Amino acid sequence: MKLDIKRETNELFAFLKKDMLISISYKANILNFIIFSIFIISFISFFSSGIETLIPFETSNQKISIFGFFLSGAIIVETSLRLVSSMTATVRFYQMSGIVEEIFSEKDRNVRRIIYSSTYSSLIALSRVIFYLLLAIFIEKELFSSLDLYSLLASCLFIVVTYFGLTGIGLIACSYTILFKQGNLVITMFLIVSLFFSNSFFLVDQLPPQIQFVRYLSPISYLLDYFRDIDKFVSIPANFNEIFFQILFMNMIYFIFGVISVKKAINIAKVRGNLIFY
Amino acid sequence: MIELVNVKKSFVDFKLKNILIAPKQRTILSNISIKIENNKAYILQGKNGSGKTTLLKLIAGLLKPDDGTIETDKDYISSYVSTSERSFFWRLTVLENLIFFNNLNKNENVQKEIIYEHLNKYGLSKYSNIEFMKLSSGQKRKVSIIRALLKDPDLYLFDEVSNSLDKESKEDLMQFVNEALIINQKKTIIWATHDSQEEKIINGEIIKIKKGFIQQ
Repeated sequence: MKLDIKRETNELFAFLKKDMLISISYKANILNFIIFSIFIISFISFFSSGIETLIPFETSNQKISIFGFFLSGAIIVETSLRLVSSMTATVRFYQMSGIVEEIFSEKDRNVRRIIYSSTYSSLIALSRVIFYLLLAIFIEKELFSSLDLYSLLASCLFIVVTYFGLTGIGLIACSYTILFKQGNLVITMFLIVSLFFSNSFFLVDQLPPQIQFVRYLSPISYLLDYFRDIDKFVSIPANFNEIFFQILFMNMIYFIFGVISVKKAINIAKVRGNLIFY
Repeated sequence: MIELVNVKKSFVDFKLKNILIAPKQRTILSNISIKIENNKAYILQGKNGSGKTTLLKLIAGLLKPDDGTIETDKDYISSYVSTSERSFFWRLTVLENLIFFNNLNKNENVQKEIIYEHLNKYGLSKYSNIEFMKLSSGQKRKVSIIRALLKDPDLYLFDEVSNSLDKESKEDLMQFVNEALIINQKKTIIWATHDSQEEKIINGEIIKIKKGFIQQ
């Protein structure tokens, strides 16, 4: 498969520009963003108020304050959910309007165009992450005073790799949307796993051992475990390679499976005749 | 060249009740075998429900046949122009929509001036900065035709595009297709219609379709 960089860049920017223009045309979007951010910050601050000391979660080998624990959980879960659900929402919109006829007119480009369609949402989600992180740095100055640049860059690698995994899950969810239209089971399952089995808001160690294995299937649980250990931002951990390749392997499996499943789903929809339903 | 050999297409009603008892199957196309030669125009004529749209969508690759084969030249680009008004982003302006779809179509040479030229030709230049949702049905149809023209495909598939156009615009469009695309540029065109009057303007070979069968 040939990769024409110029064409890919053109298409990506076309999608970004289009999404930005549509987003701006909805004036309430900016207001929503402000209200939601204030709500999240107030909620977390209220929840963690009065606890100033670091609370060692001995069972999880994590050292983080209650505030940091919930903030990181909120950031990662919200960002992941936005990415996955925005992909399915976009595909559904394309199907319900006749736009799918144009977007999916070249069979080799279907998957890329789905991914490009979600890039704007991903960037918005990323801007939220940066906003929350700045807030965390402002609130927990002491924790962030001894950060190491290389360790920070290493942790960025984790974000990039996890992005591919989440995109894969998004593509699997898109396959479901393409075939069954409504009530996306993949999104529901992802939500449950993210909230209850990924150490996001509840410690998995407290759950019955028989179901704890589910955490290893969730890309965000690895990310949370890594980011909650502040020591990893001070110096690169000795077992970095081991952890990184483990995460890379799992996320690539999600991504490859996502690409295959969405291609299959489009083919099946073309046979059934329900790719377009306007 | 495109060759369809024994193409069959039917749709199954996937309601739970039907799946449990007996899936209902509606046959749309039966044993369709036609050759579409390059640089030639065809008029696909048939009543509503005869299978015109399904046939065009199969050729465009938007549907897959249940049986039979569709063989095409390598890397050919087709453009399916439908009666749908919804295949645009309604909150974007006409110009923004055309620029977006143009960027998808690998046609980097098309500049804004060429888009304006087409808009001018269809009397839409003053609407270029108007949101797509604010256009009338006829204007929306014209924009979808302009989008197809900008794509400059090897094969145009016009699916009853003249339906909601006024008489003057309808004749203008057909004259344009006939002169510019068929006679001058020698493009491959399939013009689907239920209106036998359109055969008089569009200069092409007639393919009649009735209840899913070709009657040449």
